[in-house]
Amino acid sequence: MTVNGLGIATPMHFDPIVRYRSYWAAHFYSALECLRYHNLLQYPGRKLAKMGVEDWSLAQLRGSAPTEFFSNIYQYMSNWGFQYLLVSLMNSRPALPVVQTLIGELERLWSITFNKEYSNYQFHVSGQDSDLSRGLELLFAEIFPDRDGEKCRNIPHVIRNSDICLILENPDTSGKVGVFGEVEGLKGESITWDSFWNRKSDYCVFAVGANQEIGSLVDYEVRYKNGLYRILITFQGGHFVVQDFQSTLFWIEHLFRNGPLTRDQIKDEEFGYFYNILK
Amino acid sequence: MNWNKPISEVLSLISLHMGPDDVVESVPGASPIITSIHNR
Repeated sequence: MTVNGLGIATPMHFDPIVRYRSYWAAHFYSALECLRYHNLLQYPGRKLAKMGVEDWSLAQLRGSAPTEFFSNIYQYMSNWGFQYLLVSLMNSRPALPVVQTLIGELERLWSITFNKEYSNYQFHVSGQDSDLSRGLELLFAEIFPDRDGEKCRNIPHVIRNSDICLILENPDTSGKVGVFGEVEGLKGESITWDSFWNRKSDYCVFAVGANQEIGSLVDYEVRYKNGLYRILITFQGGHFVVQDFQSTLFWIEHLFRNGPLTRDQIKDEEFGYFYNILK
Repeated sequence: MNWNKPISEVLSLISLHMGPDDVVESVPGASPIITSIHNR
């Protein structure tokens, strides 16, 4: 099969802001989701749960972890937290053009037509490193694409070894299919490397990465990696979504470092609203 | 103070501002709030 446009980066419009309040809610929500559900974090990970505190408070977390714990997990929060943020933002209405492009490329690459039948969708966090992936296998019946004409027989394996799952639903039949991908929140350039894909699932057909470049673009390209066409979406590090998530993490670190009684001058009113909710 | 509240309550509080028109809340085991590709 030959594919036009292989390896050519195409800009995408990604502006997930309808209201600033909901936009910032997504950032804070995603950061806290990562803290709560990402079980590979050094703190809290599953440490508090093992102590019998499943539903811990921020005060309990701060009290039980080393003083600089958030500094120690900052890079991991940047990386894995972007996975949670992406799921939230991709489920927002303004992200629809990105979703349509993704689905359109899947259709083109596999010469199928999803969108006449599968007209509803939702993104979910996947991966064995996230407790949010529990029960994900109950939300769809099969995985896209078939390989060599056969359906995937080991759905749990694919869930464990992917970061994000797009579930497409046929509203008439309630039939659902899972489409899996990878997310790299720090070293987004790695999604273009052969070595990256050598370790990934054969059912991961897309990846989203945030790199460290100065620019503020989002683009996508199709590359043939390890026997499969993969759709690669890249956020440059200067994109406001990436920058705003970094700001969110910066201030959460500040809060853990100084405690809830700290007085801060937050210039953005909507940002400050959620910052103060944490106190 | 929310600082002392269970993290689930803080998440719920924040999610109140994530309306279905903007951002869809993701909670394990929850029924998916499906977004439609068409008919917008």
